[in-house]
Amino acid sequence: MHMFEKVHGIVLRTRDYGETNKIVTLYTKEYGLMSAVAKGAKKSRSRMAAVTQPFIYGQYIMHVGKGLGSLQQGEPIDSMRAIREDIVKTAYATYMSELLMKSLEEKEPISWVFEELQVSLEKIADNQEALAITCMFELKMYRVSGISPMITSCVNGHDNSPIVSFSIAEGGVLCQQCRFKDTTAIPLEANTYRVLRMMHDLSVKQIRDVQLKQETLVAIRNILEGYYDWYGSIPIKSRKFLKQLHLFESE
Amino acid sequence: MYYPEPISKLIDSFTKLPGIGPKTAARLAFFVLEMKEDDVLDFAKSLVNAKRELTHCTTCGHITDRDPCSICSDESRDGSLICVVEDPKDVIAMEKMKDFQGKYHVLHGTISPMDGIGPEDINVSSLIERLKDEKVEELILATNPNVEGEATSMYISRLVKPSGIRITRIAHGLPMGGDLEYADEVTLSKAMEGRRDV
Repeated sequence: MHMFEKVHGIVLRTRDYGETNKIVTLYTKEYGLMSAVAKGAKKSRSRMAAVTQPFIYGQYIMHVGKGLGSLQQGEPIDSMRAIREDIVKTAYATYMSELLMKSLEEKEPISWVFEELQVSLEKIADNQEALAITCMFELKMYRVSGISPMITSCVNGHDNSPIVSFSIAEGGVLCQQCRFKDTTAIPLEANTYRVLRMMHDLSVKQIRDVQLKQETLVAIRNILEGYYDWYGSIPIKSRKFLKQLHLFESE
Repeated sequence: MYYPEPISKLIDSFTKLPGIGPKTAARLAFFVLEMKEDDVLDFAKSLVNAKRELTHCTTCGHITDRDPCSICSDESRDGSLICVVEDPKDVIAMEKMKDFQGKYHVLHGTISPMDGIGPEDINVSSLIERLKDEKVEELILATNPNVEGEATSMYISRLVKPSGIRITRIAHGLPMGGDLEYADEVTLSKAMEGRRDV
C-alpha cells in the first residue's frame, strides 16, 4: 500500500461526483491508467478545478491505493490550452483519450504509450495535422490491445510482390498475388500504403510538420474505422462527434 | 422488510433523490411521520404540482408554469440580447445578479464528445430558428468554462458567425475576493488574456 505519490499524468476524462467533487481519469507515467477523486474540484475557487481539465499534462500528488485514488494537489506542466479552445482539436484529443481508456487496463504503465500520448497532444495543440496524428496514435493503441493489423508485409508472408490492397477480414495488407483472396479488400495506392506504413512504424515524436494529401488521410481513416469496427470490441462514442464535426465543416 | 409497507415505500421514494442513501432516506421518512398532516399534504401537492404544472418555455427552453415564460413575455427586457446557458439553474443564477436585462436560451446540456452527446442532442436547433425570427444583435455564450462548455460555445459560435450577429463569451479569470498567490496558472493566464482598460 502506498501513501502520497508524486506522479506525472495527463487528464483524459473527468466526471462529476457529488455536488463538488470530480472523478478524474489520468494516464500516468508511473502507474498507467488510473482514476482518482478530486475533492472540491467543481468549486470555482478550488485550485484543483483548473488542473483537472481534460488534456492537461501535469504533476500531481495523489494517494494511490488499491481502488480509486485521491488527488491532493496538481501543477500543470503543459496546460494544452490550445486543444480545449478549438473544437476540432478537442474532438481529436477526446477520441484519442477514449481509445486509450478502452485499450488499456488500469495500473499497467507502458512508458512509450505515455510519451506517445503526450507528444501527440502537444503536436495537436501546436496546429499539426490532427487527423494524421490521431491515425498514428490509433495504430499504436491497436498494438497494445493486441489487434494490430499486419502492415509491414503481405498477410500471407509474400515479400517480393507489391502491396495493392488492405483486407479487413484477413487483418492486413495483401500483395498483388493474394489480392483475390478477399474480393472486398480496399484497394491501396502506393502512396497511401507508404503513408500507412510510416504511421505504423514510426513514433509520433519522429515526425515533423506532417503535410499529407487530405484524400490519403481520409483513405487511411476509412481503413482504420472499418478495421476497428471488425476487431475492436468496444464502441468509441467520440467517433460520432468527429463525424458530426466534419459534416458541420463541409456545410 | 423491517418497516411497515407504507414507510418502506416512502424510504424507497426518498432514495431516488440525488445524494440520499438508505439511512438518510429512513431519517427523512420518520421525520415525515412526525409532521402535521396538513404539512405533509402540502408537501405532496407541491411535488405533484411541480411535476405536472411545470413545462419548458417553447421560446427559450427555461422551466415555466406558463408558455412563454415570464422572462420571454417581459416587454421591458432587451430582446436583442440573448444569453445562452446550459440549464435552467444557470438562468436562476444569472437572474440573482439583477444586472442582465436581456433574454435567455437554455441548451439543456452541453456537447460532450466522450459521452457521445452531439449538437443534435441539445437545444441548439431552436436557438438557430430563434435567431432567424427575432432581431438579435448579440449572443452571449455563458456555458461553463470546462471542456464541454467550451466545445459547445465554439460550436454555436461557428454556426452563428456567418449571420453577422455579435457573439461574445463570458469572461474567465479570478473570482471576486480571490488571491493572486493562490490562483492556478491556467486561470491566471485566462485572467491576463481577458484584461481590460480601466
